Amino acid sequence: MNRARVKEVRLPGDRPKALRLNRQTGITLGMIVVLALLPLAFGGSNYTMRLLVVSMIWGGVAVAWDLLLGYAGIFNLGQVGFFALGAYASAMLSENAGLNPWWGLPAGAAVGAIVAVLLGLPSLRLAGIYIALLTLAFYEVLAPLLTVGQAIGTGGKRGISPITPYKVGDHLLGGSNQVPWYYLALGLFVLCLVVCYFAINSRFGTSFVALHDSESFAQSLGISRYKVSLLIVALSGTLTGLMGAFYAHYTGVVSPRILGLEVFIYLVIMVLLGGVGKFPGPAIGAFIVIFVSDWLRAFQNFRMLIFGALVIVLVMLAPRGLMGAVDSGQTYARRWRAHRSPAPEDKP
Amino acid sequence: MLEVENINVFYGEYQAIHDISLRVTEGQLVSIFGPNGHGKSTLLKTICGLMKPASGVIRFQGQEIQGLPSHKLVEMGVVLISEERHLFPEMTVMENLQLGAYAKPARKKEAENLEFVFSMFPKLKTLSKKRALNLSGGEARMLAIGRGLMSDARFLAIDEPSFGLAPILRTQVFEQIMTLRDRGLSILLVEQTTGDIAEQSDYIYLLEDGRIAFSGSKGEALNSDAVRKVFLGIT
Amino acid sequence: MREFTEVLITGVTIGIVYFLVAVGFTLCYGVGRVLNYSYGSFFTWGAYLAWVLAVGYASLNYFLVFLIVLPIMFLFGVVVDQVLIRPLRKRPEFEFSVLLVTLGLAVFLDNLVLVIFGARTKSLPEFLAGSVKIAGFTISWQLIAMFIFALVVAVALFVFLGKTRTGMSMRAVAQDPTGARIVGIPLFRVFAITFGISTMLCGAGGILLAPRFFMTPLGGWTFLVKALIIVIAGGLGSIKGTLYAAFILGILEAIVGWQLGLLWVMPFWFLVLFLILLIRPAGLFGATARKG
Repeated sequence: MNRARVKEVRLPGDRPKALRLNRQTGITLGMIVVLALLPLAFGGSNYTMRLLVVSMIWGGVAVAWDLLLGYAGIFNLGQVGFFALGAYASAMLSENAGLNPWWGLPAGAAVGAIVAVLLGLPSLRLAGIYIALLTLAFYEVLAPLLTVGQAIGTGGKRGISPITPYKVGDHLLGGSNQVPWYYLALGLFVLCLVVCYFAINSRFGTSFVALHDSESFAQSLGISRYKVSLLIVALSGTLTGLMGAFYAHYTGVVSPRILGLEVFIYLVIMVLLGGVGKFPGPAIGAFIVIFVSDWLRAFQNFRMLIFGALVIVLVMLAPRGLMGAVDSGQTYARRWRAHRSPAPEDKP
Repeated sequence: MLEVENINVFYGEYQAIHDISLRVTEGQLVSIFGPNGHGKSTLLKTICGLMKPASGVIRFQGQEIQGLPSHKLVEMGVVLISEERHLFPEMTVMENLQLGAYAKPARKKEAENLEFVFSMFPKLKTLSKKRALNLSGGEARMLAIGRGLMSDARFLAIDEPSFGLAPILRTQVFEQIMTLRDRGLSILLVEQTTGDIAEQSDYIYLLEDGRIAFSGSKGEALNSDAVRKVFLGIT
Repeated sequence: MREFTEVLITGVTIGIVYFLVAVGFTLCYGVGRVLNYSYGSFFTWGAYLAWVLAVGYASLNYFLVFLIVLPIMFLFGVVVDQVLIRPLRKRPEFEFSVLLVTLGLAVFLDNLVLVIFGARTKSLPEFLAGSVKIAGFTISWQLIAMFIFALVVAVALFVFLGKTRTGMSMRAVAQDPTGARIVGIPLFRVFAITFGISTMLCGAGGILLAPRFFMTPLGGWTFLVKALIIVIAGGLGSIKGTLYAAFILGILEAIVGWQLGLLWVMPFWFLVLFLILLIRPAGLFGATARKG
C-alpha cells in the first residue's frame, strides 16, 4: 500500500469540516458532558462546586487568551486587564448605578471588547515585541489607575463589595446553593469554547492561521492582517470581559487585587500546561491549576514559589503542554505502527 | 587547505545543498558560479560557520570545522565577506574596521592591517568618520571587504563582491582580489558574472539547484556544455 | 520658586538613577533581545542584599555594600542567562519563551524574598545623613551622594560602550548580530556579559533608590513599570532615547509628586507614555517599530 503522506495544505478561506469529530471536538464535547453531569455527584459539596465554577470562569478566559497567543501570534500581556475591567464595569453598574446585575454581562463583554480594540489599534501595527511591551504597560498601570479612580466609583484600594448577585425570577442566587451558579457558569464556559472553536476552525480562523504562517501570501489574497487581528482581539476581549463580569457577581467583590501577579501567573500556567495553541488545552489547564492550587493552599507563600518555578520548568522542558504531549504521543504511536507494518517503504 | 566533503544543508524542511564536495588548495583562487537562489550563499555561510550542515565534513588545514561557531573560525583565519555586507549601521567606518580586528590573532596586527586596507581603499580613509548607514553602495562594499581583511584571514570566502557596482568599481574590486591572492590568501569566490574572474581563477565550480554541475580548470570550463548553457543559454 | 528648584534638583537626581535602571533594561533587549520580566525582582533583591549587609546582619558602610552587591548581581545575571535563557535561544519563539521564563523567575524571586525576609516593609537608611545649604537651597547629602554615584556609573557606562572592545562588541551585536558573528564576536559571551551588566545596573538602582522608597517584596514592580515606560517612551534599544525619557519622567514625577501627591504619580506616568506614543509610536528615538 502506498504510504506516501502528503501534508494537507490549508488555504485561507478553506472551510474545513468544522463539525467533524476529531480530537479537538471530541475532547471538548467530552469535557462539556462531564461537566454537565458533575453536579449529580458533587452537587452537595459547595466547596467542590466553587472550585469548579472558578475553573470554568478561568477556563473561558484561558481559551480566549490562547486565541491570541497560540493562534494569532499576538503577545498580549494585558488579558487580565480585560477581565478586571469587565468585572469592574459590571460591579459599578449594579452597585453604583443600581441596575439589574444581569445587565452587567453584556456590559462586561462590551467593555472587554472596547478596551481590547483600543489597546489593539496602536499596538497591532507594530512588531510583536512592541505589542508585548504596550500590553504589559497597560496591565501594570491598570491597578494604580483603578485605585486612583476612587473618585469615579471604583472603590479605590478596597474595591467594590458586596456585589449584588443575580436573580432568577424571585430567586436570588446565593452562596448556599452553588448549583444554579454552576450551570450559569457552564453556559458561559460553553459559549467561550464554542466561539473559540469556531474562530479557530472557520474560514475566518484559517485565514488567521494563514496570516500567521505566511503574511505575504495571505495579503495577496486580500486579507488584511491588521483588520483580522483587531477582530480576533475584540473577540478575545469580549469573552474575557464577559467572564469578568460574571466573576464579579459570583465572588461578590472586585478589587485591584484581581490584577495581581498571582492571578496572572495562574493564567499563564493554565495556558502553558494545556498547551499554547492547542485548543482546548488551556481550558483543561484551568481546572488543573485551580484544583492543584487549592490542594497546595496550606503552603501559602511556598505555593507561589512552586508556581513560579513551575512556569520556568514548563517553558523550558514542556513548551507544548499537555495537549502537546498528546500530540507527540500520537505521532510516536503512528510511527510505531508504521514501523511494525510490513508495507514497502516509499523512498523518493 | 579547505576541504568540503558531501555536505547537505537544510533550511527547515527545505534542502538547499545536496551532497556537495569541493576543495580549495592553499594560495588558490577558486570561483563558484551559478544562477541566483541555487545555494551559493548558503554554501559560503555553511563553510564559515553561520550555518550547520546536516551531514558531511568540512576541513580546514586538516581540522574538522563543521558546526563550530563562527567566532572560532574567524580565530582560525576563516573569514566571510557576505553579500549582504552586515555592516554596523550606527558605527563609523573606522569603528567597523576596528571591529573587524576583534579576534585575538587579528588584534595583534590591527595597525598593520589597517594600513593595508587604507592602501587598497584610499577612499575609506577619507570616509573614516562617516557612519556606515550613510555610505553609498560601492563605499559600503569596500568597507565590507576592508572589514573582512582586518580579520587577518588566511582563507576568505567572498560572496558577490561586485554586485551592484559600476563596471569601473567592479574591475577594481577584482584587481584587489587578485592582489590578495598574490599575497598568499586562499580565496573562495562566489560571483554571478563571469569574464574577468573566470580568466584568473585557478579552479571553477558551477552550482545549480544546490548541486555541483561542473568543476574544473578555466580551460575545461570554456569547453564545457554545462557552463555554456548556464551563461549563454537559458538558466 | 526655591521649593520648585529643590524639587527640580530631586527630579534630576532621580532621573539619573531611573536612567541607570532603564538603560539596563534597554541593553538587555537591544543586545540580547530579552524582555526581562524579572527585572523588578532583581531590583528588589539588590535592595534586600544591601539591607542584609548594611542593617540586617552586618553593618558595613555603603561603599563596601556596593562593592559586594554589584559583583554578586553581575554573576547572578550571567548565571540566569546561561541557565535559563541560553537554552531557549535556538527556539523560533524565543522572545516569547524568554518572557514567560523571566515571569516565572520573577514570581519565584519575589516569593523567595517573602519567605526569607517576611512581608513587613524594611527600610534602608540613607548613605549620608543631614543636608547642606548651597546657594540658599537645602539639599540633602543623600541626594548628592545619589547623584554623584549615578553620574559616575552613567559616565563609566558611556565610556565602556563607546571605547572598550567589549562595549563595542555589545553595540555591534545590537546593531547586526550576523555582522558580529562575521567579525568573530562570540555571541553567547556577549549575551552573558550584557545580562550580567543589566542585572548589575538594576541592583545598583535598587540600592540607590531604596532609602527613598519603602522596601517590600513586591516593591520592584513599580520600577519595572517605570523602566518599561521610559524604554518605550525613549524608543526600545536607543540609549539616547532612554536618557532623555528618564530625565523628563524623573523631573515630571518629582513635580507631580510635589503638587498632586504620590498617588497620582503612576497614572501620570501612563499619561505621558500615552501622549508620547500618540505622537511617535516608536518612542522618541525608536527605530521603525512597524512590522515588515
